[in-house]
Amino acid sequence: MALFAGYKNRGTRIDRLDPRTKVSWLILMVILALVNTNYGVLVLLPVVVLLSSRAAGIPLRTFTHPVLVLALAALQLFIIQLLFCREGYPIAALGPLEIYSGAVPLALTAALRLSVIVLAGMQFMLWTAPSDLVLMLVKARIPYRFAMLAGLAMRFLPLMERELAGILESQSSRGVTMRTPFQKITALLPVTMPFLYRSFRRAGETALAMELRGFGRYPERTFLYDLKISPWEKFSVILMSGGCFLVIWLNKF
Amino acid sequence: MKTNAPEVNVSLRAKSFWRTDTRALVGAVVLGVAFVLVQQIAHHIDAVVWPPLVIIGGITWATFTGLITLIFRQPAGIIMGEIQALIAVASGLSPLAVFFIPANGLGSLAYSLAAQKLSMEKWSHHFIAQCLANISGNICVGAGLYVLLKLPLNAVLVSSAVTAAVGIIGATILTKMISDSLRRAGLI
Repeated sequence: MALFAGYKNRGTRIDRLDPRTKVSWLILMVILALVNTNYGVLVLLPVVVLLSSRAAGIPLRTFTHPVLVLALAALQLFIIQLLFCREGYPIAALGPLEIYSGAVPLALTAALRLSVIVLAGMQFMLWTAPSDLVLMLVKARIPYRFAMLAGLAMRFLPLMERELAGILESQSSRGVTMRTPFQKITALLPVTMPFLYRSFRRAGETALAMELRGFGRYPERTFLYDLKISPWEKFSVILMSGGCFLVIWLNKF
Repeated sequence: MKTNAPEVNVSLRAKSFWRTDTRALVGAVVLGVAFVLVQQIAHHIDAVVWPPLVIIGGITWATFTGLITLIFRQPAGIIMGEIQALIAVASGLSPLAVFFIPANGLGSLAYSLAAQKLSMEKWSHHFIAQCLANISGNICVGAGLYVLLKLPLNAVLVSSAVTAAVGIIGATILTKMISDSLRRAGLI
């Protein structure tokens, strides 16, 4: 299953927003998740992220895989806390193992925070064009040789995923099975090695192609498009920044 | 007197800390993305085997960090590590993914420092470099286990020590073998 569906212009109003507005939204969501301890707010935040994604035309089924991964991570958190948490008082005993009252709230808070960070991060990658990300970094005065790398990573992710899926398929046709955990461990090397070699070859070829097109020839470079932030977006960025400071201040004092 | 300019250049490159040519930067990105995908498989195996320990994930982390830092130097090592960490955060790879941001950066820097001082031709050099990378990286992840998951200090120490030990041994062998085979294949 794909880790990321990749960016697709859906022609909605949110798609046309400046990437700085989208970054402000991401930061606001992450700060709200990290600073808040109220369960109501922590449950509401993933819903807000999903609804805003739907408003941007992103189908909710895109989030099926991250939700499954989050469910697995939440299960991990619960197991770890049930085994090791010693906060609160003992509420149950399973043989030598005592379960403390603090285990479930701690695991629940961590799982909800994680879900907000993951869904908001994924939302950002789904509704921000790699080229917009590069332009934003260049605007932030990062040298374009380095700014280009963020966009490159976003472009390469779906490509490399397909490559890994191809290797998995070809290895399974050669008799490498990945059903049980032990089989997965033994199959890791036969899958990783060809993938690693192909990645090195791809890196060499891409670098050569970029240099032949003049990448890095001049210290400055021009772009076909320029970022333009509207007054309304500026106002919303200020509002979201203010919201971040207010939430931090209210939780600190 | 025989002079051999290319040899001198290769030797200088092997000892340099920085490498900012296009191949190193693009290599960092491509290998960073490959690292994310391999870690995804490794973490799923770890989650099934025993969630508090990141054995397979630890070995693949140390191998990739060592390999990329050894071949592409800095800032490629840090770029690769941070790309992996940020995508891990956005994809929910692990509950501790936020702590991969400092762990990957520090692990790569520690490996670079060792690789700059040592010739990296002997097994012992790879072992020393991996010791530095694994210890610094696992301190960050250990902090995550303590702060984020609120695990008792003893559990954190045992988990970090086991992950680091396995990572050092596994990654020393893998980094040396893979870097030698990549050299033989003419890919680096």
